[in-house]
Amino acid sequence: MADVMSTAVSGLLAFQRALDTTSQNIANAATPGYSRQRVELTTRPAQPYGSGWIGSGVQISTVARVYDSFLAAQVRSSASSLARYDTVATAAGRLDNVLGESSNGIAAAFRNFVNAFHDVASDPSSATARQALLSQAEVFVAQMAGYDSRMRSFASDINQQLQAGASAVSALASSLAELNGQITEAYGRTGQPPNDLLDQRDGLIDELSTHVDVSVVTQDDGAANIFIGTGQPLVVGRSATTLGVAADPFDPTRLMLAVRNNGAAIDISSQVSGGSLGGLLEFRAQILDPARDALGRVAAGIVEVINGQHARGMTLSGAMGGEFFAIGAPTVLASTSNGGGATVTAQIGAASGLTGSDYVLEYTGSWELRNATSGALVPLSGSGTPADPFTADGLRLVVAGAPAMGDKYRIEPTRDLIDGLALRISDPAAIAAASPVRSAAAAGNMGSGELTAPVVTDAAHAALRSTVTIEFTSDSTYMVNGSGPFTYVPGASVDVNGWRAQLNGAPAAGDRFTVADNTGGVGDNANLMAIIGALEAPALGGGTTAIADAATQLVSRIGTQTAQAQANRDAFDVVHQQDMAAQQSVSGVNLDEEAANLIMLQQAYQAAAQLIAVAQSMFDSLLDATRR
Amino acid sequence: MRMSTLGSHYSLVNQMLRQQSEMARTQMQVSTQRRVLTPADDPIAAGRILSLETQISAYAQYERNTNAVQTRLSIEEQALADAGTVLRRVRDLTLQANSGALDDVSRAAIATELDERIRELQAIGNRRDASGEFLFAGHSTGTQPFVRTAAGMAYAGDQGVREVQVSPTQSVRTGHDGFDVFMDVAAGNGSFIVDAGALNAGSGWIAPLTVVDEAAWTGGSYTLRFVDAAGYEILDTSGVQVATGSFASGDAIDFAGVRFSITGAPAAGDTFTIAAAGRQDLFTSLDRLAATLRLPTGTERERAHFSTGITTSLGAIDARLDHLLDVRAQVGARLNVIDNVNAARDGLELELQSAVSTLRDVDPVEAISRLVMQQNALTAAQKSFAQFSQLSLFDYL
Repeated sequence: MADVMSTAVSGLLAFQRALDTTSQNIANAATPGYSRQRVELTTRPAQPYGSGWIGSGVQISTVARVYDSFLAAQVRSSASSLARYDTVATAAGRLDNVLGESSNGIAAAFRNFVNAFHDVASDPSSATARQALLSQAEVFVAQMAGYDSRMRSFASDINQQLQAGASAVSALASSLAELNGQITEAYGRTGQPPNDLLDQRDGLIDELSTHVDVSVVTQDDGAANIFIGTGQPLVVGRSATTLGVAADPFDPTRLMLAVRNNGAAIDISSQVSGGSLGGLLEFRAQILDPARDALGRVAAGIVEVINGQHARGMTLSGAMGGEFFAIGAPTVLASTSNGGGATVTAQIGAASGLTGSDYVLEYTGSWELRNATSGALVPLSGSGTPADPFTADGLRLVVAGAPAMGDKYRIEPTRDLIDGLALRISDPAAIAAASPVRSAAAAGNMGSGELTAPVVTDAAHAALRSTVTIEFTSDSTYMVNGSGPFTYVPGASVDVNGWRAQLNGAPAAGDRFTVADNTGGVGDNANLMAIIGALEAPALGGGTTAIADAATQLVSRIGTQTAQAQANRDAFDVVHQQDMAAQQSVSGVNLDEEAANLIMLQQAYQAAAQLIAVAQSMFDSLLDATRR
Repeated sequence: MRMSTLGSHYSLVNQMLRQQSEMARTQMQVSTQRRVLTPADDPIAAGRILSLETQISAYAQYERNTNAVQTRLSIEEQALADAGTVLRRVRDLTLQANSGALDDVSRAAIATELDERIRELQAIGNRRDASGEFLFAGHSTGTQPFVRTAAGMAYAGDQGVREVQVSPTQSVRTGHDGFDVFMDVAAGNGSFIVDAGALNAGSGWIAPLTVVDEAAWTGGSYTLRFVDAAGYEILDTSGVQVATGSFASGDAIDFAGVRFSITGAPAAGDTFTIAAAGRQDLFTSLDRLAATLRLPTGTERERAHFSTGITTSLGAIDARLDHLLDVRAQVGARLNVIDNVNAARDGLELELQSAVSTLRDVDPVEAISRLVMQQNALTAAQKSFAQFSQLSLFDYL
């Protein structure tokens, strides 16, 4: 009877605990990150009797949580990728919306600007058309500056988000280290797994995985060592590393992820690829920076083409055209670790040579220029002096002062150009629509010879606008301003005083042509036609890409990258949900299952209680029998 | 597979969320009628759309350009037509003056009308286009091109001609400069000029007829001198005799590829010159005609001078009318080019628009049926969610 009693009591206790656990499961059916728990029942050691081994009831070996660390790792991995691509897709989508809108995007802004040039070319002396061109130029500058400031604000947003993300990671790390301590202690004290602490820790690791890519190594004492990126330890046992941000060694306005180690910040940005932090770094390096570079390159092309030709023209008041636009210079950033005192300045030499890449100029006994992305050596020509600057990839570099060995300078040729973009002309009359010189045939020429309108090749020539007379001494020879004779062939070019014109037709002896100052030439649009032609010519990419095409390419590329990030995000969304479902199918609570367990356990509990009644009646029967 | 309650709840909810976002997208496509809402929707199509729209915008600009050119050329054509009318009137006046029945006073009256006509031509030369620019001033569109000075009509414009782009590959000149139209015109009949010596004593007058042999006409200057009333010699500029002939009044004389005639009775020693036509502006030609009309015709000798002047002037007027017609023909050709460009552009613009539409616009039938389908799916998901949520073993406890 005593055995029956104790066996019954062991069952009552076991089922009570099992019912406790079931109710805990039911109560936490909707708790995120909760792993269902299961009471592991084992038989109590049997008692040996002569007739055999008699069982002595049930005992609880442990309350285990149903958990699969492999599935958990998969969930984290897909959560990291999902967060990464979601961050990239969201940020790229914003950029895409800014630049891509076809009615007011960059391509439309450029086209409207070119159209305004056409309108002045159709009616060069019209003040209205000229004012409209200036207004359109202002709109264009404002639009470019708008894109630039939006992209700059993206960059500073990224800095803030990196900072916020890093401190979130650090907070998680210290919580995890603390939990590690509690878990180790609980294990040590009871030898049993502290399920709810473990769930809590897994929840924190899951959260961490949305910020960075993580890997977890569980120790025998229950502690989990956590590594981020490609193996940077974040939590080891009870100690946590602080993740922070540090300025880029070249650019103080650009923040990088860094861990503090003995006071020194170690840049780990290149090691982090997953999570929202990885996504931010990827967006900045792969999408935002190239987009800013490309936009700057488009601006550099436009400014070079327009300024170059505008200076060769004549304004309404008869002066030579000045600069149409002002634009910034390439950014040169000295490394904070530089020891020497050299200064490097950069200028755009030829926009068509610009590649959109960044460069690092390093002093290794001589100056070496490397592509910052590929690391490939870029050959430098020139000597680096102001008179003979280094030239490479459309850049002109001037170095001064004494560098130390290993000094590095980062050159971002086009990224910040738009910062300095401004319209230099405010007077509509200052638009140089006309050519400064014009050709004329003398009255009384007998031949059918013609001199084409002169094209300015050197706007700075001192005698550009002086009168030049071309006189035919016979039908096959001519003198230019009394010097010569030159042999005439139809189509012959006359290159004098910084202009070039062609002689055509059959001139007769004595025929004279003059090229003279285009005084009063307010109806001339030759220079605008040249500007329009140059804007439509392939001015970028080594003479392969027209400006409008470069703008379209920029939009297309961002669109492609956004589409790619969105496709990746959607794919990982599905993968992540599958992983979650797989994990939930193992660890999640099923209420029907719990209800069934509840019935089973309740019945078992009732049966065990009945056993006590049986034991009591057995005892009573015995007492009744002996009382007589 | 074992389902957890929370997991199946989430997966049902996620499915509904996804269906809703797809529906929202379709709804957006239907309401904007666009398939490509942002470049990321279809980057390749978006790039194509951008470059097509750039082209469309460029063509819209070319259309504005052609309109401007067309207006300017039409105004120029009108001016040229008016100048032609004036010149024909001048020609009629000249013929009228030459009829011989008129006395000096009547001719002077004709000369006065001619002066008016010259002023009318000057006004035509100084006409402005729609935006107030002088039509015939070359590039100097702010400077009045034709100004009368003591030395005659002066041209203050230049020889520039503006070009405007009317298609990606074509530009059209938007006019002619006044030098070309009015000033730089071949003198005489366009090939050679003749004149009578100022001191001629006889009544012979010379008329330029035609060039009979282009190759033989060298363009030199020659003097025809009457040796006596029946014979002449022709001298070159150095006074060397190059030809001789016998004279009959009114007969054509062929020399060095050109043909002219001398009528009347020239005296021995009278000279006539034959020279290559240089350039003479329209106004000088007409001024000289006016001066001729005012010449006295009392004597044979005076009448000979008058006749020479009238004949050469008539030739000159004809040559200038021809020149004006040439210029008008050029204007017509340019307007024709513009018509062709317009026609080609209209077709191209339509092509481009339809290409953009194909790339960007949604197929409404497809989109709406997709929307209905998505709506059905969402309704089904919502119903099944409600049904699924009601299933619980606890209901039977």
